Amino acid sequence: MSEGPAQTIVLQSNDNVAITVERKVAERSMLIKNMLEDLAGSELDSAIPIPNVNESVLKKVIEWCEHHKNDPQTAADDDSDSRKKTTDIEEWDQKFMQVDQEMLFEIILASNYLDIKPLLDVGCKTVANMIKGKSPEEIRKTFNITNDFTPEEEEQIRRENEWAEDR
Amino acid sequence: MDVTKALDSLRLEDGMPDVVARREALERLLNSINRNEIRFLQERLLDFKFTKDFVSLPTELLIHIVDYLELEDFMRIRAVSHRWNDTFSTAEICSIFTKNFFRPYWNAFEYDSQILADWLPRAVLKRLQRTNGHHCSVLHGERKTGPSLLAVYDSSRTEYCSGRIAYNYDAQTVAVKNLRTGIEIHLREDNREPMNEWKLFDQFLIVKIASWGPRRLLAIPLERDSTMQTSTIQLPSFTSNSRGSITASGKQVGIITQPGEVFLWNIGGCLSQLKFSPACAKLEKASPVDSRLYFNPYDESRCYLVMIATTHNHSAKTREFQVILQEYESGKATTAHQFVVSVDYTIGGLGVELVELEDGCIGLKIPGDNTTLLADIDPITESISPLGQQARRKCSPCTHTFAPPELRINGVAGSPNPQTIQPFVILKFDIHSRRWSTATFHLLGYHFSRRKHTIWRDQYLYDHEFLDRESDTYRTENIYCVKNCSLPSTKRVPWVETEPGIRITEVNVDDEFLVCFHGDGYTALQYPTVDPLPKKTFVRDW
Repeated sequence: MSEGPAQTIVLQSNDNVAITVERKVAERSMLIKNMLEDLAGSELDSAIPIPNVNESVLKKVIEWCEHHKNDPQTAADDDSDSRKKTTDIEEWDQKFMQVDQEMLFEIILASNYLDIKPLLDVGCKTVANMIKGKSPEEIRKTFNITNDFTPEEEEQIRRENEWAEDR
Repeated sequence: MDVTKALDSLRLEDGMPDVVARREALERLLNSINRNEIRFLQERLLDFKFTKDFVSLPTELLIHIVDYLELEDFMRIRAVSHRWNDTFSTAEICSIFTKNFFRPYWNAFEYDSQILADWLPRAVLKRLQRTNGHHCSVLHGERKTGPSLLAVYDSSRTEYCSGRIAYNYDAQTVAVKNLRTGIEIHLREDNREPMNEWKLFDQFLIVKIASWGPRRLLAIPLERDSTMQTSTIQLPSFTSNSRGSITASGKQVGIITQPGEVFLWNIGGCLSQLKFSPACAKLEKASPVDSRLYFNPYDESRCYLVMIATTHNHSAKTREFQVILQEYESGKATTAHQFVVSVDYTIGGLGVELVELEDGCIGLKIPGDNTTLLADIDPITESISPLGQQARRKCSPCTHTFAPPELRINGVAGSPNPQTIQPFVILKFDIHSRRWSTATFHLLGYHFSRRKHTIWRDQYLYDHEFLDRESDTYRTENIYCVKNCSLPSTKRVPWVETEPGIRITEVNVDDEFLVCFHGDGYTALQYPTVDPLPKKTFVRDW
């Protein structure tokens, strides 16, 4: 087991691809960090299986962790009681999130499973921005959803929401 | 051999697809086909859309996303499809919106999920109707004054509070009109003392009796069937004459007699002095600008003392305002929030002002132009201001000049003198989540110095007044609304079209009414109000 700053570990995706990452990068994931702490002292020869994440998503998540490896660790979630008002996303993260929807949702699921809170926040903000201020029709287009309301139901919704729209 | 079958056969010992081998096979396939075929694949691949209906995410993650949405989005996302409607009508999602937008109605106790899901859409619609300015009725009224109203009284003084309007009927009488019922009552002191200093609150009219004898305060209940009688309390010293020296909510009255002396009066009970925390005591030594006591309308035991003081430094270009918000619980000082607002004094000497906000929240209006907010610079107490997390953050420094809004005078487009639109920032302390937030507004410069600021639910309402040269009188054109805007490209919505020739003196808003005072009367727009969320009913299950 090697000591020093560039200690690496191996992660194994659910499709059996082994990926070598710097320990510091992998520790952006609280799941992996806690796991490594529990294993402290014992051998780290074998790869850590990540059963819920496939290779392409895991690589993408690692790319994010790599870029944010020197970010200060955020304190335990203390603002659970206040509304997360701002959906501003920093430029690098915005570019990072320019992926197809399937990948975006996989990233959200993976960051939740791996417990990487800042990445989860960025993912959820990205989805929120895809919905925010959009009309139902625009949302349907964005997510390729078919409108399964009958014309009668549509009319009823329209009447109910008459006052809700800005004049 | 079929390519798909060949790919499918590439499996690991346990039967799972061998990802590495499949990828290598595809690589070999790409090398073996010709350019035309690659082009064909390219086109097909470009058409491939990785779309995904995100409502399939687990509820805990949907909640995380919904937390970022606005109130308007609630109605829209439920109109997308049946599945979206079902997903976003669940109690979990509804409670997020209730918590974020109807905080006073929300509490940690569980509500019946069906009641919540029924209540929220109606509440959202009413709220949106209100914030979009769709009123349901218009009330016009006159101030009918009595014959003996002496000219020395400020006869134009009218106040609005929670659905009621008050004004001096004559020297000894205050008329209070209930806008909901249309009933007007006349209130007097038993000995017909002059009533020239009074303030209207939600349940009481508080009158300062100062003619002779001991200085005292009178609290006259506004509900006729109220079991409460008129109460009096003797004051140990004069109250200051500043606007906010007396505040009240329900039966609680806050009285600031002089800087450093704050009393609490529970109407019907006795007067008690509020103890200052060390933080407040230290601020006392600086020059006071304003101080005010706020009550939590939803929790009688909580109140908040805000003190603003300034340090004079004539040579410096900036002026520093020290602000303390001291929370009190059952009369005991708890958390103190303190920070310094440093204002560029060269642009016009604007400072920090207290503004009234919705849901009992506390607002501070500060210039958004080269203003710096310094939190935590002098931690007197152990408590740290929540702003400390973003200490030394600049409040959107900007000095934009914008084209003046087009005005139509007698139907003809006219251009008034070019005016600068100035940004200002509202620092809001949410008394429910006990957190600070900021909102930037951009306004016509001259509104800075004028009257009361009417800010409600992130909207700023102002009347546009101008001098009509033909008649040489001031007139008010529409009341405009500025919505929460982080950008100068503000949407300015004409809110109320005023009648020609009217000059509005004051605009008051809350969730139920928008009241404009003008000349000898008032115009009130009534909006539908949100019913309180019914509490969970426990079904006896034997």
